[in-house]
Amino acid sequence: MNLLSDVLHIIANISWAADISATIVSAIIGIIWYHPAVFGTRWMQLVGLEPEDMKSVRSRNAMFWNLPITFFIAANIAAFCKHFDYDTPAKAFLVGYDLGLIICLFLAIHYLYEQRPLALYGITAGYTIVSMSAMGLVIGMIL
Amino acid sequence: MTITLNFPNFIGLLTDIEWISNILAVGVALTIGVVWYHARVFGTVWRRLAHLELQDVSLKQRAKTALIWQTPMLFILAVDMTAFLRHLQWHGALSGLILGYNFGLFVALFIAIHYLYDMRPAKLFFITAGYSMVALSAMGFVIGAML
Repeated sequence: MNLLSDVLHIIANISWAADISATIVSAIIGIIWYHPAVFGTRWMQLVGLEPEDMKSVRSRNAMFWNLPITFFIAANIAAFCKHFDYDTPAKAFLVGYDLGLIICLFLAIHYLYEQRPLALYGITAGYTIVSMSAMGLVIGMIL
Repeated sequence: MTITLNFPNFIGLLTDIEWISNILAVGVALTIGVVWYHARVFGTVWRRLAHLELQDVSLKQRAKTALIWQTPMLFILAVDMTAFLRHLQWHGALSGLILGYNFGLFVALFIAIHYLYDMRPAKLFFITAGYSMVALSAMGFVIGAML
């Protein structure tokens, strides 16, 4: 198995339909998760942001960057799934969940040292793992 | 290459632990952390940006976090990374480095999304994500080299 040709093959074969769908699903989960009626209010309070901050340029910047970054993540999950021949929803879900777990572990290390509140970690890591698992599931369904 | 999701096989990936390479990888990640967050490297800037007081990041406090939380978490990461490498049938330091780097990319990208919405300084993001990527790449390198 030639490593370099594998990597190039992955980059040249992006599954647009699966990756774009996964990005949209992740964004929808984000909108629900951070809705004021769900975790939004608590999150804002824990991070120390005011409601008027949500209308600022920095907030719009975050929304602008969110989609390309998520697409990049989705393409990477899809590459892992293809490389493993994991093309069913259950298997791809597992890949997304496992990668989400890795992110949550590193988030935990950083949040602990930064001494951020546990509830904030729960909201942040919760969104991360739910969104990663859902992205895996969607990619598996379309691949 | 078709791999079916075989449950005993799956458990085997997690139970056949490569103790030496995994413990070594954890040691490397911890060492990088000590250097990275040293007051003379990024420690001082990091402390200011994360709004931490000097007493909050005492040696005792850091040692406690490292021992109770960071070491077991890094160990789980190392086991997971070994399982991925075995499943991919990737061997060697270069393969490990690529996998570790890729894992680091996932971590850095998600940290980017969260830090953007949290409106934290870009510099803090680079220190945090930088450590994640360097540590995970180094862990992959060590595990791959010894697999």
